[in-house]
Amino acid sequence: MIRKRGRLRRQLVVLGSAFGATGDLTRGLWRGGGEKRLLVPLAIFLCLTGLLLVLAAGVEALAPFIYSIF
Amino acid sequence: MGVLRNPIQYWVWRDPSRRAYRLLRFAEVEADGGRDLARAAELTRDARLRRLYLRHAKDEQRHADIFRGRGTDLLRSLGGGADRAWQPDWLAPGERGLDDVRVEREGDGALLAFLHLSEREAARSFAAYSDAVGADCDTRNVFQHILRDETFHMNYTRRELARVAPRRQGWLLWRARLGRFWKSYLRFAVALGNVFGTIVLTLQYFILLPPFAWAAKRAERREPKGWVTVASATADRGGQY
Amino acid sequence: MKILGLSAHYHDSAAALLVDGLPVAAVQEERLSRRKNDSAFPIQAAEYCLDVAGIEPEQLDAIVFYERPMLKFERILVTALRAFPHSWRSFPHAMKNMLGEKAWMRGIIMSRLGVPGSRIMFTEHHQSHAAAAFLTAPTDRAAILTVDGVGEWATLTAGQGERGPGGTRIAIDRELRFPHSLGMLYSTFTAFLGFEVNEGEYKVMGLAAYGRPTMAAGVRRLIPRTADGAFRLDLDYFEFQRSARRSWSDRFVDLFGPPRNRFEPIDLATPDGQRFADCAASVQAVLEEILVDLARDLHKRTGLADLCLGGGVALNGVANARILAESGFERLFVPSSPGDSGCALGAALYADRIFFGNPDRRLDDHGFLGPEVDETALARIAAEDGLIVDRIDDQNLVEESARDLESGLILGWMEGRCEFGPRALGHRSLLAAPHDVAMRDRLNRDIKYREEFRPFAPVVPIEDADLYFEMPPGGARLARFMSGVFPVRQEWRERLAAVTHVDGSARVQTVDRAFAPRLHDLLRAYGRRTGVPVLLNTSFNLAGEPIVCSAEEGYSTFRRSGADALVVGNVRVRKRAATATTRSEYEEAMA
Repeated sequence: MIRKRGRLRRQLVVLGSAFGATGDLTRGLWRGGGEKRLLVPLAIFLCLTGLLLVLAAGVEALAPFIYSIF
Repeated sequence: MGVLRNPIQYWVWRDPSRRAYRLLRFAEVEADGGRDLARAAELTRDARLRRLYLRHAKDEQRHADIFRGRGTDLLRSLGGGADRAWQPDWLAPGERGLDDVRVEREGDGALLAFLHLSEREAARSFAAYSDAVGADCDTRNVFQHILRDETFHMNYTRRELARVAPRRQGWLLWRARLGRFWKSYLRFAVALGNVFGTIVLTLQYFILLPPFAWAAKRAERREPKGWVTVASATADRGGQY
Repeated sequence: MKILGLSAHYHDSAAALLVDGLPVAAVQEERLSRRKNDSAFPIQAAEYCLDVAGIEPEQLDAIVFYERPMLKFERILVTALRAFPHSWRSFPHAMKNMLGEKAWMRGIIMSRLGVPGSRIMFTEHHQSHAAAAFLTAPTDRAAILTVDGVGEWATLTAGQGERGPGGTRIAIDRELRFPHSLGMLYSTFTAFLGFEVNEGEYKVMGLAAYGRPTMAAGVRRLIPRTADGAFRLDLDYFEFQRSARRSWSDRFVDLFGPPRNRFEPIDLATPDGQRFADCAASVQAVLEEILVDLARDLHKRTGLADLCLGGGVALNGVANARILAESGFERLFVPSSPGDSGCALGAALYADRIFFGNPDRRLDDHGFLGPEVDETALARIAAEDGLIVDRIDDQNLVEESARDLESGLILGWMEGRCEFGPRALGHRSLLAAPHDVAMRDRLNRDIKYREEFRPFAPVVPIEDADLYFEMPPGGARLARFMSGVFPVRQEWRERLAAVTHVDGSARVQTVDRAFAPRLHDLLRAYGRRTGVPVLLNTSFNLAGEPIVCSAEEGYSTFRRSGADALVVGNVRVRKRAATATTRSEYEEAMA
């Protein structure tokens, strides 16, 4: 039996894991060498933007306000 | 809102091409609604409701066929062409069918209340469209035919609601109304959030990406054409990159 | 060791569970959620798999996702950068899509299943395809070819696999990368012809038989061959790499004419209808040419007798039959679920055999890994609704069903566990007599509500297949999961008119008794009555709905369609006398 969790709680778990995933991406790009290394700052910045997108998806009702963080 | 909507409806339905595409999209919505009702029939433990839902599902499928037939006829009379008619859906959202109902999550009473309100809204909309199509008698006949069915659906869902939840029917109807209102708000909030998100990402695209794009294009030019040799995956232990 | 494989978020999400190296359950999410091609996280499918094994998520040793989300993110980002500034419209859409959810798969799995992140692993998309194709096939050494739209970067991979007491090895040694993709070429034509991508590819294949490849030279301009025998796409003709709106460019339209409006039915009597059929025939011909070339080259390089083919393109039965006939391979294995849903099983197998190095286990050679159907549920519902319900023993059920089919009835046929994959292989099927074109038209009109150019498939006992169909060596095996299209023998075309396509071919399913005993018996009984042990077998669903899974869904589909009887296990239900009851209640409720 899989325990069901609320949407917000699920999104918080996702947010928590996002830093590790960003780290994996950064390591992968760095190991790729050459031009891939150049992508690291852009990828990190976009992943940070992604955190807001995750938050907006988690609390649909507040989606318009979350973007005002920008 | 209704006062405002009617001129918009006249404008939307006046153009035969827009009319054709709207009918064809209604066909898809009706078919979806039929599938939701079939799902409700599969899930309910109430034998009478199951039979009614199945019948209702067949009606929705029939409506889909009627809308599709009329839409296709209209399109043929216009000489066809690509699907590029501008669809002002945000002005006149039209038929929403069962409004993304999650049939699995609703009990019989809640679903009936929801269906009742949806059918009532659909009946109202179809009456307005029937008035708005002007001299197009065939399309008006389609709406009027379907309108009769929608009225029946509206009545049976109300009666069944009174049967399955005699004491809670009023509360269930209010809850369904609030649910519809909340869904409308969520649609609006998500759409607005989407617009903001698109603006933010588009700004990032033009401000941040150019130097990276230059580097990526340069790298692309050096890429070999055809097969790429794959390195051995022995060290791979299942990471996400 | 208990390993759960998952595929999700693009199309056809699914879950599959391995216990000690053997699959105990696998099912697509759509079969449980009832949303066709459901791509949502397969929570119901995962729950079903765990229930079958009687375990909790915490007891899983590993959860394996079928692709690497961060590598995919890199591809999407790099593609947007390469197309700058033309990708400005698709970039926000792609980023919202990826960074709003799909990139964070580890977190999503943790949050949905409640398992620690350390147990979550990832395989590459094409590794999953390769494992699904090779590790489910009854062969110890085989060449492996995987072809689909795109995974992370790879769109097509080639290599070989070996298994045995010494361990398992899957060595993909070369690949083609995005945007150069056979799958994307075919999907572009699918969309151009007004069909839904990832769903309408069957329709393109069916439509191709009505056309002539008059535009094959044009298609070859889109996909020139490279000096090393591979191919590339000429991106001037495509926009999928920079636009979310359409996948072809204006130059593509200059070559092939305006696209089809998806709302307009294809009328083959009109010049436009014929143009669309010719387009389909042309892209199909070029796809076949390239696949045969690639397979022939792989055969030369490996010298192996067997080929395992995976990826969504492996659903193209016409191409598969040509590969078998022309590439030099003696046997061609295509799994029951070669597309992305099958990757759930492939990922779990890959992790078990390669990441964990567990010993090879021989898998049962069938795709019946989904939920079991409950005949008592059908008996209860049908009795409540006043339908005629019979409980019949196996032998009489088979004989009476054969008699019903002979008399022209259409039967819903459900038994055992449902199929894993897109084909109904006799556990969730609609069966009918295959002799008359009128039966095909009735099925299209009253049940499937689908385009007239789409053919129906025959099912035949494996021992008789060669009598009715021109099966090349290895063809009967390819037809096990309906993966090959073969010519109907000239002398039988008239008697098999409902399953013979306009070009004289049929997508045959061969059945041996061990695979589906009751269906095999039914075919034999039908053969005794009519002299032809062949039936029309089509998936048990209505247009726009997934194949039925439970008895309730079978019943609902049966009631809404023109099927005459429904058989679930040993329970048979007929429609007579039910309508009146329903109508009176309906009218009473409406009064």
